[in-house]
Amino acid sequence: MAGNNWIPIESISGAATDYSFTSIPSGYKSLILKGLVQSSVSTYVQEGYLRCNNDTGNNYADSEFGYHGNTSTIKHAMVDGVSGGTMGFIGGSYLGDWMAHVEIHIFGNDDPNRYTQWVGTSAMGGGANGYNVTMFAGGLWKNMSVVTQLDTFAFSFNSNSVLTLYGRK
Amino acid sequence: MAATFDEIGSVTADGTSTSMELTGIDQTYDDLQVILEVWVVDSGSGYTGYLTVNGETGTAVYNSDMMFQEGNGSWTYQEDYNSYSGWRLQKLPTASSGISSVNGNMIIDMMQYTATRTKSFLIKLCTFRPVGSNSAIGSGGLGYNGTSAISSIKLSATANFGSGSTMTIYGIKNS
Repeated sequence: MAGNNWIPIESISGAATDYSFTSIPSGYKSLILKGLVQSSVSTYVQEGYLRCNNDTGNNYADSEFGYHGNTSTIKHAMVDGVSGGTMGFIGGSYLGDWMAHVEIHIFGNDDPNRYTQWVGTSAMGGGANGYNVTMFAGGLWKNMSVVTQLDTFAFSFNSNSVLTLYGRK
Repeated sequence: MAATFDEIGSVTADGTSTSMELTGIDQTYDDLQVILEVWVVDSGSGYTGYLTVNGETGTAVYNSDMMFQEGNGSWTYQEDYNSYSGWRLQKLPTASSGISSVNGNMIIDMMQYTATRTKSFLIKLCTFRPVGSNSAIGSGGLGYNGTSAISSIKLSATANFGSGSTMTIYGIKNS
């Protein structure tokens, strides 16, 4: 029953400051962003965000929870009134060739009665103690509009990165 | 062949019932994925619901380890062992009337749900309001201390689930 599978909508790959998924069709109960990505920023771990419908205002809440950078300090935060919700934590260029797996499930995207909200995971083995990531991330777009566009923000993907948007009927 | 996700059951609350249940779950898949998108009709802070399987209510059946970040800046790690008649799902969003603008979203992966032995499941949750102590984001392990295949799933609370709340089950085949 193909209609109930994860239905690929668009896949974006390669070096880019941000990926933009535009003209997202309506009719999906949820959306999933999933991929292997790495940042070209000169850092060990780079946090990136998600925005909806090209809204760059402080209309989001975001949250993060888990470990990254070392194994002894838990990272946790939840803030309101920011310009994007956390999408994930990925490795930067200091790591060499270490891609991170990111998977985000987006709900309420097609429901005019509620905000759009997402939750997902980031995972990366950084090749040495202290350079790994296990994080949960989430965001809330405080707008009830149907989502037709999703933009990543602050990742700066490298040339090996690929991210696919799926829809679920 | 890529794994497939087939919707094999869905229930939508009408705002007048304290539970949502799906029975007669197809036993021919390898794994299940359960999606909860729910809120509770109540004027209080985040509500607690309970998830049960196979109609079983014994406290010895349900164990869980949950960790979540809360909106007030604190984080919680919590173990429930032989304590509740179901897996405890905390901080479900509430609204006293109308339709809630935020839902609690939970993804539960039930691998090898037909195995006749104890089973461990994974939940990812986001009951996320604009920041407040009633928000939560995180994950947990759900332990089923029974040997039956999973044939029904029920979400319950002591207040009604809000209109439009849904529980959907997908069957997954590995090949």
